[in-house]
Amino acid sequence: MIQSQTHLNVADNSGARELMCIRIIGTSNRRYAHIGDVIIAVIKEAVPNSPLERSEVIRAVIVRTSKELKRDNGMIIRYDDNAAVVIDQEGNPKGTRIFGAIARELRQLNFTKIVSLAPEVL
Amino acid sequence: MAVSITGAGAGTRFSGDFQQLGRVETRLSQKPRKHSGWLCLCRHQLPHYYKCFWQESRNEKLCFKQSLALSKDSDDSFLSNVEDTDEMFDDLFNKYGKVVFRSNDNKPPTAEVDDDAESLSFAVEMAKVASDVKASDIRVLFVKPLVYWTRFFIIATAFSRPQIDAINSRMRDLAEKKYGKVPSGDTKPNSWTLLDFGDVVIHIFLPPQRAFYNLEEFYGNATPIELPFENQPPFGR
Repeated sequence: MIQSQTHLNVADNSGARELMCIRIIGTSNRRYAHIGDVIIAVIKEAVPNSPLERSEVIRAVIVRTSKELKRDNGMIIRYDDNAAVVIDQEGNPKGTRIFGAIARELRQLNFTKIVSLAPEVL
Repeated sequence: MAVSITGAGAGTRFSGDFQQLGRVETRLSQKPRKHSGWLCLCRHQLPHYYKCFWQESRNEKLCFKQSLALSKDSDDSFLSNVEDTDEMFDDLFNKYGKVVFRSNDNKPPTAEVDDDAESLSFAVEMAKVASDVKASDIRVLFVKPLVYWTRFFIIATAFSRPQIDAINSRMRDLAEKKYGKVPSGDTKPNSWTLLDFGDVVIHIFLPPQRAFYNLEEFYGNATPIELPFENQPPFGR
């Protein structure tokens, strides 16, 4: 359940460390975003000397949420943190590697690039 | 016999409340019969009746109900019932092995190998299409041992977006005509264009992106597949 003003960790090596959601892409007045949704975010904290800087506005895909993700088979996945991956306008990830486990729902949502860079897919 | 009689005594006292509840004979209810035997022993040993009741209420409600019903309707047969269940389980174990659940969609190992072979032929054909459109440095990787979600990766380099578009459309056409597969992934040419056919995932890069993402290194442990045609060497190497 990501909404605007939510702070998220960054799950890739793009150079950003922490994001703050400022808008959810999709229908108007959408309240919450879940795994696989694209958000507009602002970089709150960045690694020094990296291509991305603090207070830059970027797009990101949510890959982990503390809110439970329910599957049709009854499986429930809940992560420890809220995390996102920085992408560009075309949907390519800005980083080259993803950290941590991600959910396979991203593949169905056409983020196979992120899935293929991830070390573990749940 | 003393055991079962005391049990029966306790049972009749409460039977009014639980008459409808305890008569259900399911497979689940086979197990708690042992519990009921144990409860009756407790009752026998403890002098005061209310203490017994307290002991029972600590246990599961289901066990309680069944113990009452069982001790009521079977005075001397419930001990033999316990042996019956064990024998029954032994028979089941002998028949099916100690398997709790067996999925119906189990495939024999040969089907798995067949699927692999089919995907391999598809992947090689796709790589050939890429080679026909002058994509260079084509790699086919068998990634099934590394990731569960696909079997083969094809990684290729193209030198312009129109070329990526050409490779993309040719692959889509052939896959749809010959194999009836429709890919998900990018429809427009992109600096990293991805076609997802399920078992085969195709990555077409522009040269800078290929170096940037360096997928071959990430999947370095995957088995490379030998291609039956001349592979164009990477440009400028």
